[in-house]
Amino acid sequence: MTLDFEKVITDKAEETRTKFRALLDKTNKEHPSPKDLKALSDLLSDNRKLELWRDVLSAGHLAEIMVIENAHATAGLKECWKHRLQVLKKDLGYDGAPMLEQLLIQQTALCWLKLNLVELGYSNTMKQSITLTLGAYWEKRLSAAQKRFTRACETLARVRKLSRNTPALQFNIATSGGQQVNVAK
Amino acid sequence: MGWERRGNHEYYYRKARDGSRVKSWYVGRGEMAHMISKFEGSSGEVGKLLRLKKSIEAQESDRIEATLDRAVELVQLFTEASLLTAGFHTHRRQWRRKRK
Repeated sequence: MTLDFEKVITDKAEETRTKFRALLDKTNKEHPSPKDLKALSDLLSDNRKLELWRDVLSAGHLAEIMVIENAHATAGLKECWKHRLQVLKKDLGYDGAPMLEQLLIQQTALCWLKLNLVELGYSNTMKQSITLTLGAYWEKRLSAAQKRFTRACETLARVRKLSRNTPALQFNIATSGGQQVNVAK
Repeated sequence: MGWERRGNHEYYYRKARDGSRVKSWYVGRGEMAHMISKFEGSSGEVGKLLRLKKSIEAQESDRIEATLDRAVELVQLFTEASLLTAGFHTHRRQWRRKRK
């Protein structure tokens, strides 16, 4: 993986984040302006090439690659983790899930993997005699990974619960090579 | 670590702090002591390199976690945007459907 590829994806993700953050701040209230809501809706689904969705997916894939490739493990073990991630996603209903849920499943699986890696690093570090600073650093990393994973699970569960009676949440957008483009509104 | 002159000869001592005091241990003199002092001088360099390597590894870990956090935040934003356009809003950090 080249650094440029990583930079392009992270820059795009940053751009998308800024656009969304601005519109979300305006619309997250009980009676948002219809104009702002329409702008947000357009940004979400009316983009013909659906580049924003791809940006989010790419950022997730990039994070997945970085987490696995930079882990201190053998190539064989990394392959096992990749396979385990795929199985986990499948178990969480990735295939056939609406687009939004797919994003959340990808995120949950990735956060689970990261938490496991941090826990492994934490227990390896704690076996040795370490400085207070290093201990605090690992505690902080572990706590952040646990928080990230819990939040991902909560969001997935919430969206699943809310989307039961809300067809408007059933975004289903074709991936490259697919045919279906069905964005429920 | 240090060389100390006692009379006409130099002797090599190993120093270590023990609480508020610094203790000296005699190592030796002559060629053998010179060799030991060279090795011990290099182990400081090795320690420095190890610390540098650890700091580079920590920076790399931080970079990966920053990328992961960005990806997670982006998915959260998309989720919020989807919920908002589907007619939900937050009230005291809880998602509610808009009243009709």
